[in-house]
Amino acid sequence: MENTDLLRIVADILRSEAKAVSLTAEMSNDELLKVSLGSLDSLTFIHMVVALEERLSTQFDDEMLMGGNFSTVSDLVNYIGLSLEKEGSA
Amino acid sequence: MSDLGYRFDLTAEEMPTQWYNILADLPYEIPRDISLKNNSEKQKMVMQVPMELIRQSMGKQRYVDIPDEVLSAYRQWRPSTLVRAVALEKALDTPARIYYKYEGNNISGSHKLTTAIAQVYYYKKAGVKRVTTGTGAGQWGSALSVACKMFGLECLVFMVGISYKQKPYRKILMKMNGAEIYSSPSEITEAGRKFLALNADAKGNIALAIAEAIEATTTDNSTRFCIGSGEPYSILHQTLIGLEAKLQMQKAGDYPDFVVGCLGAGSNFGGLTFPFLQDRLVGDSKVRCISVEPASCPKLTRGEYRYDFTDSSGVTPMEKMYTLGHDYVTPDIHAGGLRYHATSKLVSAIYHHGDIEAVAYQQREVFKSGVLFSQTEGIIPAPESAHAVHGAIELALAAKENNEAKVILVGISGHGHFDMSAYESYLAGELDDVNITDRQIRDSLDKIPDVSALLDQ
Repeated sequence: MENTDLLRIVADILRSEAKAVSLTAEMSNDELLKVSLGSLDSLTFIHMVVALEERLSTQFDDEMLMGGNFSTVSDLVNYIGLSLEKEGSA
Repeated sequence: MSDLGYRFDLTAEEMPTQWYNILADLPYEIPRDISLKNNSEKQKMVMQVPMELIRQSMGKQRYVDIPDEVLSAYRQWRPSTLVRAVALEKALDTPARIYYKYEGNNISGSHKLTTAIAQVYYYKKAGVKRVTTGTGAGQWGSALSVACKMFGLECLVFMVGISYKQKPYRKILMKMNGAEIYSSPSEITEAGRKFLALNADAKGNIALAIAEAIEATTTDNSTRFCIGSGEPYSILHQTLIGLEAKLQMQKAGDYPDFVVGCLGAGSNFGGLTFPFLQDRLVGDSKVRCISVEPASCPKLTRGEYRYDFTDSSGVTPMEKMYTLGHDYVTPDIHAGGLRYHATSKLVSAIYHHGDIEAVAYQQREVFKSGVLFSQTEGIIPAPESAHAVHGAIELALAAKENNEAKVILVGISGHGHFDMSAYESYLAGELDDVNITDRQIRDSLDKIPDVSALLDQ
């Protein structure tokens, strides 16, 4: 899956699960990638991860997820890309 | 007084190898947690709890395989014993048959080690090198330190200051297991230093101890916060208690009319009762599961079912549960494990739908029953467990009154060897019963924020 497709999925889920993060339909991909996740509380983040797992029919790797620091949407998209890649090669 | 004919042991091979997930059998959903505010001070998002545990809290798979490493660790003391309390029956002169399941026979002294081992296993698998927690009287900290020692993780514990001074033995147990332990408030965190600057007595409280533990995870990326009892995954792990007990009751050729457990945050009660409740939910069993709580902390019997914070810091997510209000100050009773102002959202939902029952007792009658149990059955129950014992004795006496041979299974969640000062107070006549007024509960409940606007979204 291309990272731009992933980005759109992440943005969709952020809109539905994390209302505190303001995303508008007009935002460009570059603008979306820079959106900060710092304001998310842990519960919303977890709901988002669960929703992403459901949407992508995958289970993320705990070692990668717990080791990651997610400052922006870009960090999350990169993580998911790597996780799916790892799953694909497993 | 023990008779081999009254012990119903399982061999190591007979220990169940799966946990039971009651979410699969409930005909209703557990309301979702909500967040009241966002933490705008943070720069980044860090996962505290492994997804494997989170999935266990949300999934509907009826049986979850216990990993081999966890099974191996359990074999140090599991399967735990189930005994018919013939001497107690005789002392009560009751036609009831009383059985007890004993969880104190491990180094931590209580049921909590059963989930601590599973949790630490998943944290280790997720690459975490050190776990941290806040602990009150020290049961959870003890269990976590033992589990960390087993799996080679470091353990950092913040123990409420007053317990650190007054209850030294669990602290020593944690140190024996290599835990790094601080009296909370401590000098090593910003939260602790702030509190110390304002409060010279440094008694501390559990919310502060937890806040210090969470702060410790922000300064070291290989440390994660681990909290125990009320989470659905913690109850899932504890169902091994009830699953073993079901097999043991089969060996005894009996089936309980009542399953009785004490209720704090919910893992002991849920762990013992849910596998029996399954028979009622999906089969034709009429088993009655009875929760026993202290009259001074009567969350199910006098609390309200509503969204509240899980601790008094007011920054945690809100869960829908039976609560007395997160600001409720439980009188200084000796059953530290039952002082929590609310109980697990899972147990709460099940109570709300009428599938379990609840009673509350005063501490003097509870200790009286604890002493009788120790004299007859040779086990000093923890003050928490003495609540369940008292509940079972009340049922056995009612059976005597009605001349009914009821079958009662009671959970003894831990031993009372670290709580002898509580028994000393009881024997010296220094324990008081506490009558909580409706007004006290109302005042506390009124401090819970109204979240109806959030729910309408």
